Amino acid sequence: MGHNSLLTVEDVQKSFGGLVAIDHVSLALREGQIKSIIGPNGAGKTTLLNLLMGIYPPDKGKIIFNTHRIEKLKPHQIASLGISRTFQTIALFENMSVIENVMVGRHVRTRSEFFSNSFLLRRARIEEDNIVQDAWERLALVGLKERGLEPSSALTFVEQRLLEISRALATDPKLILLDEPAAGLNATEIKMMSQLIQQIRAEGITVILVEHQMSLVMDISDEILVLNYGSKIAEGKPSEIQNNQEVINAYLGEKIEIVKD
Amino acid sequence: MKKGNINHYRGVLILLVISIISPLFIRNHYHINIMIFIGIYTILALGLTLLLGYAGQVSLGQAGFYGIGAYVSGILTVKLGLNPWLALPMAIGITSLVALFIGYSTLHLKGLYLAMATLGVGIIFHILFIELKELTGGAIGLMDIPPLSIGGVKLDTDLKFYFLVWLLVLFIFFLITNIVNSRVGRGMRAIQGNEMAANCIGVDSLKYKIKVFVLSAALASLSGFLYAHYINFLSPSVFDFSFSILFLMMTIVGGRESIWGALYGATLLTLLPEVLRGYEDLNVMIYGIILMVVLIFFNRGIVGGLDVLIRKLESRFWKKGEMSSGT
Repeated sequence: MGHNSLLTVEDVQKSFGGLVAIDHVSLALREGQIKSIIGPNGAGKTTLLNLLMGIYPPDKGKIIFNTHRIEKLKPHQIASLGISRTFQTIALFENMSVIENVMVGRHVRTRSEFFSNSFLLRRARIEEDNIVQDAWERLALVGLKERGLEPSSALTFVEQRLLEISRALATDPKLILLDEPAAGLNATEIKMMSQLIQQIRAEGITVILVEHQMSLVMDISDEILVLNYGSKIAEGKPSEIQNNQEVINAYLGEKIEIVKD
Repeated sequence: MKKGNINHYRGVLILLVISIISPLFIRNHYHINIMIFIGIYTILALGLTLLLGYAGQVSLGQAGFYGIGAYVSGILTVKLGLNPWLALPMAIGITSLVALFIGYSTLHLKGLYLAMATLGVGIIFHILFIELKELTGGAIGLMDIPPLSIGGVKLDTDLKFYFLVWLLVLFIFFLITNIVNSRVGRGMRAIQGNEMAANCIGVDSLKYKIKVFVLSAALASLSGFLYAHYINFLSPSVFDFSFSILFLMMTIVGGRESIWGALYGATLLTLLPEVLRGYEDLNVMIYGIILMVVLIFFNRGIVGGLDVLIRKLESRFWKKGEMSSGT
């Protein structure tokens, strides 16, 4: 199963007003891959993630995930099919505790509704027990178990990043979209993040990584896709991308850094 | 963290004791009557608190749903001679269907569209209560609505009705406590915390907004049913727009972030006019000033005010304890 195409994006286009944010982009993603999307600021990386997650529909093109056409689905429907994400600016539920944030992640894999919960029916109670247990296990995976009962706003920056990943993993995704998970982290923390992402992949979850930290990207990616002004300008293995003249041009001043890596 | 945690029900237990003990001290019919109204309004405000505090939506039409509950049950029992307990599910069912229709057509719109739509619906139903004279008795009113009875016991005294209303209040608090502490409640709080993030991890925010809206209408309908069979007479003036504002005030003054805000708000805004009755012309002004003071000093409502107060007391005692242990 390792070589099946999990996600296929075909000729997708998205404009905001007159601005073309994504211009005829196609990509294919195999199961178990780590695929990075890089590009200068404003290249359309986050827009592409938003299209995959159904935040808004593309103007044109198809998105096929695991044999389902998803380009017209809503985010919660896409989440139930098995895509989950984190956000560039951390988007935790600050009105809830750490463990409750992860428990919301189990929402999409559970079913009890108003009636069964209000009357404490047996199936609702069993399900709630499972949610609690699952959530604590997921939280332990990112090392935040001791902080579970604190308000999520009490966590440090790195911990908030980890909690967001834990919450996304709690939805049992087949594909996780990480939007700049290493932004604002120091070298040690980036190393830890790198290990975590590889661990996620080792559990059979496919990863799309949007990231500016080139050392991280070059280190762990199977493939890299480069966007510039909404268009795909290159796609390939890290070594190929490093030596691609068009990529170096797009990054201008940053070329030295890329080559050095 | 387990379900059935006794802490969840602390409030319900305290309220149970208070509501059983109160009639032992309050023998005055007038006071029992006020407490019945507090109960009826608490049920209604609870739905609105869920809607406002958990789904983040404003309704300015709750008086309409309150009226539908009252009139449907009133008409069915008076004109068709139906047993009130059979009329109740029909009243709640019809109200819920109306709310479902309104919610489905307006809740996907952002901002104040629901507020505007519910405002309109509330006014339309108020006009219907006046104009459908054949059914509602028009401005003259609908008379001779039968009192409730349970197992052959007629609830014909204020005290008996008091126990029915507060039993229902307690039961509904129990049910809603369970909802708030469940998967559904967390989903709703996630929507409040960050709607986009909630959607992206699989919470269907539109579905929850509609469901909570229908639930709030159903609770308003139950309140209307209780009102109709307590007062035994319906006049359209009790269901006009100003009552929708009053109900919204109850949830805001009480505090929308906890379901207990509904109880505090309903209590304060029911008691205030009664207490101020003696001040003649000044009463409206004093009423307004008190509400302003509450909202200026406790911008999270009474719930928020109590929260701050308890924390201050705790930190004071905690400091004292620390100092004494230090010496």
